[in-house]
Amino acid sequence: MKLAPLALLLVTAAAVAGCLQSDAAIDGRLLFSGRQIEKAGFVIIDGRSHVTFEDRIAHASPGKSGAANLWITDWETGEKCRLVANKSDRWHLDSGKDGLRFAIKNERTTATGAVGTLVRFTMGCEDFEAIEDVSGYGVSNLFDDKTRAIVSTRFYYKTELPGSRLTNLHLRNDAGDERVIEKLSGLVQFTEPDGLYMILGEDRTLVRLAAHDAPIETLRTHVTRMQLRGDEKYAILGVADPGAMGGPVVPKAIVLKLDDKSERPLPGKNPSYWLGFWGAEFAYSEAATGGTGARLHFFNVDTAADRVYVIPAGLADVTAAVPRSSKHAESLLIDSQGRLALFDAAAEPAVRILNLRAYSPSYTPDGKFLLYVKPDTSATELEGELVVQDADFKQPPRVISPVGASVQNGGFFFILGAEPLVFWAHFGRDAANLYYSNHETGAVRRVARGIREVTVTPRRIIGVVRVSEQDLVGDLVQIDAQTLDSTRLARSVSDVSIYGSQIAFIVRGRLSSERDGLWATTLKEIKTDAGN
Amino acid sequence: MRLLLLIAVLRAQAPQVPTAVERAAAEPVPAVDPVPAADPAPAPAAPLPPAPKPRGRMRGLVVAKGVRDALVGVSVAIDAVPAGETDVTGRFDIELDQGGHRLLLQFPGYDPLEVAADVGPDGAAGGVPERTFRLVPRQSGERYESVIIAPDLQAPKTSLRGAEITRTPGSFGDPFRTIESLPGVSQVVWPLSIYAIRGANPGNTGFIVDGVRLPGLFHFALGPSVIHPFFLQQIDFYPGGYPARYGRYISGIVAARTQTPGTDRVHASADARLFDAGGIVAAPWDEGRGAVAVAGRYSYTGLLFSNLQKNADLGYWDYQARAHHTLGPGRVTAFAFGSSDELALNLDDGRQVARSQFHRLDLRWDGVLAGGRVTVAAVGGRDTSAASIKQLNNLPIRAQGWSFAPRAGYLRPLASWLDAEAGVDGEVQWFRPHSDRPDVEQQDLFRQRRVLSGGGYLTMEARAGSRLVVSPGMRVDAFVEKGITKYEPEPRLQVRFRPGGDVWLKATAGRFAQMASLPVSIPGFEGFGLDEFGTQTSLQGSSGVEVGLGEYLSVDATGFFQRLRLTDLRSTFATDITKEDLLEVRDGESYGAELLIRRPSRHRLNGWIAYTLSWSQRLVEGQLVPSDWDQRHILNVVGSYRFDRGWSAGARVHYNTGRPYPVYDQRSTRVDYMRIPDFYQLDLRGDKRFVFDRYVLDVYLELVNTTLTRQIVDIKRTPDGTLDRKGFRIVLPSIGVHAEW
Repeated sequence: MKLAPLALLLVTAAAVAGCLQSDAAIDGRLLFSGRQIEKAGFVIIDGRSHVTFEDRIAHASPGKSGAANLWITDWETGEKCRLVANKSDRWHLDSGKDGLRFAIKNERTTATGAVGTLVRFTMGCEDFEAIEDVSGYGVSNLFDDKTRAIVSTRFYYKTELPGSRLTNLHLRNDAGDERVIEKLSGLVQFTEPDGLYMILGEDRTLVRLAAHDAPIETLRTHVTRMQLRGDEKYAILGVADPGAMGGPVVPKAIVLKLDDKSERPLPGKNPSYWLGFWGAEFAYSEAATGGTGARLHFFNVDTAADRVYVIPAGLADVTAAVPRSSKHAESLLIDSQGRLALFDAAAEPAVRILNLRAYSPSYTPDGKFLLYVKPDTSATELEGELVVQDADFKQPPRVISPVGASVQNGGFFFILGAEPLVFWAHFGRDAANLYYSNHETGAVRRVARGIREVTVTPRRIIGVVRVSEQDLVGDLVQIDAQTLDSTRLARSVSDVSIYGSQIAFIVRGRLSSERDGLWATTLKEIKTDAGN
Repeated sequence: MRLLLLIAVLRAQAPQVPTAVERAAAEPVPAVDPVPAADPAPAPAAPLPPAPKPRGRMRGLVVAKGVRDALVGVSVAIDAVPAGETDVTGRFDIELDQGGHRLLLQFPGYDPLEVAADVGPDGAAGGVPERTFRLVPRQSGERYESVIIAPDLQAPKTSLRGAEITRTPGSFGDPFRTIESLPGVSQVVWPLSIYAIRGANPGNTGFIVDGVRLPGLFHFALGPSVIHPFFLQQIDFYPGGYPARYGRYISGIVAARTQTPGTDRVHASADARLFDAGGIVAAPWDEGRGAVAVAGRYSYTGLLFSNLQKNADLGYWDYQARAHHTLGPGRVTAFAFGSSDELALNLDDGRQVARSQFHRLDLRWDGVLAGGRVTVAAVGGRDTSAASIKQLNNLPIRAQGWSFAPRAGYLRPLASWLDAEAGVDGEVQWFRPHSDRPDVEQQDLFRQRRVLSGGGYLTMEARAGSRLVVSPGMRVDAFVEKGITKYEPEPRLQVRFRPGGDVWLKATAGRFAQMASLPVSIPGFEGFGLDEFGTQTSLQGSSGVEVGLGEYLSVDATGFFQRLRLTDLRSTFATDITKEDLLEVRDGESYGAELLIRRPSRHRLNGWIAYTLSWSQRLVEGQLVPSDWDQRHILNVVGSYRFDRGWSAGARVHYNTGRPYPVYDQRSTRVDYMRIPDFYQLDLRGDKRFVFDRYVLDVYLELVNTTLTRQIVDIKRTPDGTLDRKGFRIVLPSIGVHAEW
């Protein structure tokens, strides 16, 4: 009887023995510890690998975007420094000559938007310049044709005008000369080597500078949209002139000859989609209206000759044209509903309607096959089955994605190899599986499950797979594409960046722990094609 | 018989005020016809002997007013003198002098009945007519309770019966829903009846009725359980460390026993609620050697639901039938039950339906053989599930399953201090799933398969005096699927020690095993993944103390620890059961403490306070993290009070802290874990019982979540960075009428 309490104790102790422990082992070096790390990327400075990353300090809040600290760390030494503190998410990063980078930090909201401090900084953690109260900026670089190195940089930044939605434009050339242009109201477009187009004032006047210190040349008022021909002789403009006697605004598209500012309207009543300059001709389409088919125009702005092709019933308009290949004269026309037609100006008829709808139709590099995603009308996303079709449309189409899987719009591409088609497909709503396929034979192999961010080569896949839909992290693995042998390098990986055999990855467990942060590891057995 | 072996305790409470019977026993009894005392003076003459009074008989049947159950053992007093008791049929037959008498009938739990009765000459033909006396159930005040308790010393459990399982506020009168107010139970999302017990997954808890495993416990949506409430007599809830006679679940067990139908006459009950209507009819047959009970329920939820939600139809029905008859030294019982649910959505691209149905037929013989109690039984069943709702499954799927499960058990005393219980049980299941997607057939869940599971157990119960009970047990289960066999030894040990008074120290330890399971049980989708996932296992231990504080309160405090290896949903958001990585084997553990303070239902004011402090963790991606069911604090205060004249009112206060929930940033690139806000609710219930001579009528109104607390089910971070909490704020009313004949 006296042993009874002891028995109770033993029973309890036996059950409690052996509590679970977290497994903290990661094969790699911790470069930076933290839970809010994101956006890892490689930068090569003086031939040495560095990793940039951001350390989030604030999520977006009403009227204000999120903010993060931007860091850089030396791959070899692990030495690190903070490039930008409190960098705003609202504006992107940019690069300029001499390794200078651009970012905006310390965002604050204003009556008309938000402003911050534009910083130009070196990757050596030195602030080159800080400009206060900037509401936006843009950078234009000129590259050396051979080395692709940046040989000159121009940039502009905008500052607010009190009580106005217009801004002042501060234009800085490569020599550091700054020029202020007031009352910017629209686009800013650089042209090489020194030109600049922009829209100014309440009446949205398109102007240009032929050079940094050239006088402002007024081109056209009430401009809403512009497409410039490469030689800068013509521009296609969307304009919205006020109606006569205060009547309603009538939008229209015009061709503006830039040297004498003469203009003529684009032929057609409703030039709805601009397909761009095809040589000397500007291609655009008119939408079908009741009783009238859509029209495809090729307007020669030099001669004013307009080739017009009436699209048979079946296409509402033409939003894009995809050339079959350099060896074929044929192009694929796509309307705003994803319906397709074949176009060959030399053929009769020039336009042949294809009785199908498709997302992201793409020809194989040799032009022999057309691949597209067959829209799933019941899905909320743009997705469906991946279909391969011989480009001559002599054979019936074949579904190449697994039954029940859904390929998202644009969810495939080609690589060089025996299985050149790579696509990813969803079962259900979470992470996708990655497939290699031979589109000619229809052979399909699943090479990775639950991919998040992977680098694909014909021989191997490196990246984050088996991603948890819940945690948005997965296993960092390298997979032999032939044998599908998989080597797990780390768990709970949210982001990865690969340069050659160097891999920087971010670990973010469900709970905060000492494992969270930016890690580095090296794939010694992987050749440099891993970074392709 | 087990009941005979264990100490039978008659817990008939002594009344606070002496009853008439007691007064009669304590005071001098006046003679009915007092003989004059002898006169000291010489008698003038020899007296004549008194003429004998003519005798007569009084015959009666005593029944409960309303339900008319025959009352056995009712104390019968004639002119305040005890004269006998009613027999097993509720009858008495007393010979006494002719003339006027006062008849007093007394029975625990009923108001005494005193009536005047004239006894006349016994008729020559047909005898004295039998009078029926109806005792009124005591509807207020303290109730006497005569319960033969055969304490199950093996495993700590909470037993609920009577009004506790049909009138607990917040449960909609559903016995199985009552467990959500007990310690160790975490309700995943109120008001859905999905329960995680002691940190394991909901699919790790077994629900058993009369030894038969239920493939699905509750109807769709807010539907009730698939067994009619008044078909059940008692529910035993084992949050862990359940006896070796149960197996193949790694968490708790909820075991229900059905009512044995009365063999005296036809009984019937009917009930109607806002959502459904049902009834039970029970009748004796073969002169009371057997009885048959049939219950059924039909929901007109579809009608209501369809009016509220034009593009959706919802409906369910269930049935139960039970028949027994004596056979040899025991009784054979057939128990058939089944359930059906259908949810249909009329969408633009057609009608999409989710349907679930199961049927079971159990044949059982219980009896006494070779000095022990024997149970031999076999149950056969058929399950079907089908769904074409794309949002749920990604494709149309359906599954059919057939099962056959024999079982046998034997309980026998080996000595005055030692009992033994042994048994075997098994189940063979055939599954015929079908999907329109050929690739999912690569997954075990969608493959045609036969699954065999079986086990044997032996439990010894040794008692050392009245202070120590040790119950070691051993169960071995075998699982066979796709040519793979896994054996799982599952030792169990329970120890109870009474250091003194009404204080018991208790401890349990054991190992438990189960095949892979979905997080929530779905008929037709079980018995899979032995090769891919192996078996789920748990190593459980608990210790605690039970203290009885007189007749008014009992306190039960328990600490527990569980080491788990189970099939978890890889993602909380994964609803597509065709996904090949839907499940993942994870290690986990849970531990905590449970407190139950209970005041028995025989008191006017009765109820309980249940508090659970617990941690539930899983090893995810190498990190030990809170599981999806991790609720740190759960408090339930349940109370009812019986007023006079059949009125009663009850309330339940519930509070739980939130469980972890993944919250995505606006770009869906990162997830932060937050706790869903704490949830509390106040549930109210009022009952009124009308007792008529030949039937009783109960009317009740229940309001669940009267505080209109918002239940948060989803949290998202919006593009502007603020948190968007999605949830609902509803009061669930339930109005019902229940009648018994």
